Amino acid sequence: MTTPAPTVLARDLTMTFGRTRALDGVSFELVPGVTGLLGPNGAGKTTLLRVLATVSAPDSGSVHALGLDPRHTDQRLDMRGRLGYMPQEPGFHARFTAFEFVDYVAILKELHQRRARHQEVRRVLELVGLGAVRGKQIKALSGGMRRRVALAQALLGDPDLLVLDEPIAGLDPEQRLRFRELVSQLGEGRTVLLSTHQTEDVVALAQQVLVLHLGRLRFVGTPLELAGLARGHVWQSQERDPGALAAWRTGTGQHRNIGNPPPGADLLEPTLEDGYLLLLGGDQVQEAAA
Amino acid sequence: MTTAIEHDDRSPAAGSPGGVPAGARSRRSMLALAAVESGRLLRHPAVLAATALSVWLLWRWGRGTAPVLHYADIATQVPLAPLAGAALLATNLAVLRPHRDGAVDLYGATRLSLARRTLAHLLSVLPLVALGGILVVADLAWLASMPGSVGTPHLAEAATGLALIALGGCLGVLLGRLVRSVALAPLVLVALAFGSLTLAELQIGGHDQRPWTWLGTLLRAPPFDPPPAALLGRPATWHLVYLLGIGVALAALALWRSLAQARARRRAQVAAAMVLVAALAATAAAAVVQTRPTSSALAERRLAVVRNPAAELVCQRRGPANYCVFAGFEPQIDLWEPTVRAVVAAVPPAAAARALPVTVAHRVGLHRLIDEDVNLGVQEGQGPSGPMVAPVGTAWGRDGPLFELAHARLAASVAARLVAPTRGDGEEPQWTPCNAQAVVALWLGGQASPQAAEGISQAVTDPFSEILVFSHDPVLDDPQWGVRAGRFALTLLDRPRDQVTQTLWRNWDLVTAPETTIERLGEVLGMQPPSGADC
Amino acid sequence: MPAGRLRRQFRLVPALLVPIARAVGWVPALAAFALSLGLLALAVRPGLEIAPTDLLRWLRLAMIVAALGYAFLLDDPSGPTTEAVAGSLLLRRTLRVVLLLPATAAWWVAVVWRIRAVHPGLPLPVAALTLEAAALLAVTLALAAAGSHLAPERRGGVVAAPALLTLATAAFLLPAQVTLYAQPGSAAWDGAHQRWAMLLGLALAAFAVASRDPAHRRLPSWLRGLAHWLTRGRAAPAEAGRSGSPDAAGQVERSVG
Repeated sequence: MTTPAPTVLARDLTMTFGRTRALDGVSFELVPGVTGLLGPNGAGKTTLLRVLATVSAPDSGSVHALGLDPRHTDQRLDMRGRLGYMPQEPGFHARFTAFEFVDYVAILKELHQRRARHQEVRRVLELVGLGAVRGKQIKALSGGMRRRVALAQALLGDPDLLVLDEPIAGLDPEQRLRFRELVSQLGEGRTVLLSTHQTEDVVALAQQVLVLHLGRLRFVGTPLELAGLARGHVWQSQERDPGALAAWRTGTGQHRNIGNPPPGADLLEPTLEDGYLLLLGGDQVQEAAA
Repeated sequence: MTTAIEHDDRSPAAGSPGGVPAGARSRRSMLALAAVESGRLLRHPAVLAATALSVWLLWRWGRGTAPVLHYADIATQVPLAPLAGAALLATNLAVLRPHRDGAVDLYGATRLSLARRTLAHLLSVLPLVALGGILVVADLAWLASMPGSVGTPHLAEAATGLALIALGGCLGVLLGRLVRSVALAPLVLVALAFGSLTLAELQIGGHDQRPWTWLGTLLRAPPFDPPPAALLGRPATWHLVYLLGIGVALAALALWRSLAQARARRRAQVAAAMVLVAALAATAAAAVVQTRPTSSALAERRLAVVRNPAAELVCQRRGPANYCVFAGFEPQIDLWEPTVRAVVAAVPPAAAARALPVTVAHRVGLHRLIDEDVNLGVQEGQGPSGPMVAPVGTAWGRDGPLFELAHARLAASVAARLVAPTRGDGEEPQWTPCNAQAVVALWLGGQASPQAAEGISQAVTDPFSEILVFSHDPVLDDPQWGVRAGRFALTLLDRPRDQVTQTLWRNWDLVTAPETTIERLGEVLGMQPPSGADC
Repeated sequence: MPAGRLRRQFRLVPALLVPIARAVGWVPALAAFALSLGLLALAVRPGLEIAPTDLLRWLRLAMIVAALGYAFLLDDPSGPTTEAVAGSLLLRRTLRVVLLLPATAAWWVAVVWRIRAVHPGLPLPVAALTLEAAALLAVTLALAAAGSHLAPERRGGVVAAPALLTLATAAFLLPAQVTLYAQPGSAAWDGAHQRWAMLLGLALAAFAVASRDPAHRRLPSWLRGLAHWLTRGRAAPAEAGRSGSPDAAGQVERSVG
């Protein structure tokens, strides 16, 4: 099976704020489909997403997306016409209705024709399940609904590249399910990069996973491969194993441990979360093994 | 090492830690919050900029001055106004922070009530007030250490600037509790500044004229030489009570508003309302008292000083001069001596011997402190009682246009007494402001010090009329000077001093005779006098 | 900006006018104009003798009051959501200013009319004072635009308003050689207005630079760090990671095949 051509090429992205290196030589490629971006707080996820959304320019390195180079103004504007960005902390004009706000963003996305634009606004609001409340003022909407307004504006114009920063935060389980369905559909034929703390969403949606830690890319691969990192490093025990990197009590009363198992340990099939935790705590595992 | 990912139920909310009563815990939390907020307040960019501006304004007022401390304390109020404005803006932003950042519900779910949080914001202003206090104390200490400083600062005057800062902070908190817009506080600040400046501008004299202007917040020091403290008659203490009363009223209103918003117990709301009413009553009382006219005793005393200034002064002889000053102002004599000696040194010894000792005496323009309708008892054309003196004001310093005028006034007046001394038969000296006498006296004064020369230049460049004045409140003892004479004297000051001195000394009797014209003086000096009309 | 890009931006203007007019917070600006007029009306009253120097001072204070309204004009809570769009930030901000211009002109006309009506004999160099007012408003806009990078939620007004009051206070205290507030007919008048003209130009340039496309903005990293710290709190540098941390297992785990 041939791998589709990458739609996004990032090379050696570096970005520094004062003495803090938010991105440190990050390179990766994105292909059509859904890519999950994982990482702890402060890893640089939002910074990376802002660079891809052409909202920030890196100090060094390059990004090419959809055949366009955002360093050139015209190409950057073209790129913005073909991408949708949902920021981590979206802002709204509280007095606007949901429809009015998304319509306003549609104008800024150069959807000129009024009739077609309004049709598009209605479409995206229906897509995120806000069709019934599009006439309500944003200040009267719940937090989850506001996030869906933010998602709706990102879907305007049927973008080829979607950059979603923590899109699922604040959504209830039913909304999360709907979102997974939506993203899954969108991922067919489009490139979607979404950051999340919910590893289950990555498992459910993503064909590719990036793990960012302290500004550096620590893993690029499939969810299975990330989980596979922890193969042979996950075991269960009656009590918390003092030699484990991380341990917690599960619903069965047993303790799930991650790290270097003692001989004869009852090994378990690793999950993506196990691989993620092991990857980030890997320094300490390697020191213990040495 | 194992990282425990278990949630132990050791929430601090469970039970009362250490058995501390709820009320005490609340108070401690409130004080801790006040400490955090005060730290943020002191680091706010507006406060830092205002502090720098206040320091600069205090330095600018004080540098090069020989301060009269019961005036310098008044002059600390306007420089602290930027801090008061910054307190208003910064406390308002602090109170509105949860609204701006969407944390209202979060704070609302904590134990510390809205009223206590409001009180914490109010208390957070105190360190800023303390900072203002440090600036005022440092400023007054610096001024007191200057040579020639006299007087004692009045505590209420010095504290007025601090009361302004407290008032600004309380107002900022109240505005934040009333309206959730960050745009309101800056607009209120400029409106208050506008109003205060207007009222301060209208204070053209002392307290008696337009006493209602004391209902403003900013009070400028009256623009004339500082009289002795006993003659000032400013209701500083009542004004301080007035400002503090407004501040407490604003704080009580903010607290009452918080209690009402949080639907607190009625007892607490009533207590806040009672504090508000008491503060308003105190404010009203202070407003009435501070706008009362001056006592008749003080008015009489001021009149007495105007009619017979010599009676209020204490004199001492030093070298060629008698110095008569208000009691307590003796240190200023040390500052005048060099100028007086320099003038005397430029007069031929024989002529000086006839004229000395010259009397240098304090004369301050008390006219603005006195009701306009009062009969001063001095008829027009009547000379001052007693022998003519060289008048000098109580404001003195090294730099600045006003101080240069003061130097010029002293030097030229001393020179005038030496050029046209009082005759032994008690008759008035013959003084002609538009003839050679005036030129010679102005030259003598100008060569005494660079400041005196600058002062003469200032007066000549910007004359009030055809007559020069060196004081904004001239008294009967001030000699009059023609502008043309002033211009000639300035030209003379540009020539080599020794050359001019020799010529003048050779022809002293001629050049100082009352009938000698400026043209004749020009012939003697070999110079063309400036053109212009005689006065 | 090349013609094609300009055309692209101008095409958005008709559709943007109404939403931007609704998005702008009109109350601070209109309240500031009203306050300015009210205070000036109090200070410049019929029957109240006023010297030309005092008249100018009150007029200049009234300008500062009105400029406070401009401090909050650029506050845009939708900023984070509308960064990755083709419609430029400069265009949107310029439209906000354009929409307020009629009210600004009405305010200025009212100010001049009031003074002329109450004191017809006093000299009033309208052209020069208009330059001062325009420059002051431009400086406020530049402060608001720059402040939006520092203030939380891009609300530049909380930075611009105190900054304007501080700068205006300092401007009154400038020494004579570089004064901005000179008296008509004085030696410093022409020089002061040359400085005002320069200030106007610089302020407009600063406004444009501060309103550039966020991806195009090349702030020095130390300034970005400062803005990041001020807007995200002192925890942000710690969250964003430590530079130079030794990473024994620093290689990227990549999928093979």
